[in-house]
Amino acid sequence: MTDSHCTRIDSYIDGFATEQQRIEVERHLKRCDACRAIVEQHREYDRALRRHAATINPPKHLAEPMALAHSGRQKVRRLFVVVAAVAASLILPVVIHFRRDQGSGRPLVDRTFQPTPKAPPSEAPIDRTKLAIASSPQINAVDSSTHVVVIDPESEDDITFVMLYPIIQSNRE
Amino acid sequence: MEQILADLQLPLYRYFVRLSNDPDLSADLTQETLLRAWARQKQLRVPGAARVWAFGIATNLWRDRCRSLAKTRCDEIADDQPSREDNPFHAAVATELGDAVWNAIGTLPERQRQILHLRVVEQMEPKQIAESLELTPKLVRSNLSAARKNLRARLTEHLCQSGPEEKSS
Repeated sequence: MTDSHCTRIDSYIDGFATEQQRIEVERHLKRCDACRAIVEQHREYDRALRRHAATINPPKHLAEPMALAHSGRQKVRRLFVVVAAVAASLILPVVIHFRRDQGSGRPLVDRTFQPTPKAPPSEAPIDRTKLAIASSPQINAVDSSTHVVVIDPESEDDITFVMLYPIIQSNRE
Repeated sequence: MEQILADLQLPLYRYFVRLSNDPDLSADLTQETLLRAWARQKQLRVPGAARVWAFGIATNLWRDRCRSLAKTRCDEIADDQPSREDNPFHAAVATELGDAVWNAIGTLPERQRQILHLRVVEQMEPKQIAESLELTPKLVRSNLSAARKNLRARLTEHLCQSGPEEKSS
């Protein structure tokens, strides 16, 4: 048996001989007992090795990291939902406040503000039927709120109402 | 993804046992491989390639470990371990021939050992082995051929030596 035989037989055993090589090796094996014994020997080695490898089992604690990683991921998800909810509840009033000030042209913080003596409380409450719409309703597509600026003809104060879109929609219907 | 990685646990552990001959180190390295794979799961575009990809991570991890232990060759780690007969981990022996083959593979150069294990035990194709080990398929085939030749020589030697003793006992 030559080295070239060995190489071909090894390729044949491992199943990556070409079709032509496979035919040649099989033809050779029919008349060569030594090479046939080698092929059979290697197949036996491979079977023995697979059987042997099957007896190696990982320790039970090996399954834990995946479970931990998975539960950790779920925890992160839950935490994200909680943080998002808290952030939304904090940011939303600020945004609404900012938009209301922006709508009336007043700065967010009036540094020139001087406290005036308290006026006696008006006895007559605001008659809401006299309120006139000063501008058309502005529907904000970002936060689904609707700004309606109305004006009180007596005090000439403008009052901004911020309403949620579904309410306006139901009124329109 | 979790199921894919769970299925890879055993093959990876066996691969590390093959490389290191140390069950504790193998368990650590398997855990680390699985966690790395979990963290990098977005890199895996084809789920069918998970095995090749995971063995690639495992091989890189093994190389890193060898470097961090300041070993010039990874073989030295395996050589530091007690022999199969002395190690209680190896108490469950499948067959005498299986044991002999396992020990004979343990004496092969590391690359041949890796390739032979991936081919015979994991039944991976040369192309897949080449991807995992960052080699060319041609190099995989030549190493596999060399591994077969060495294995044959060592086992013939071993079986010839142990045969007469068994008969005499």
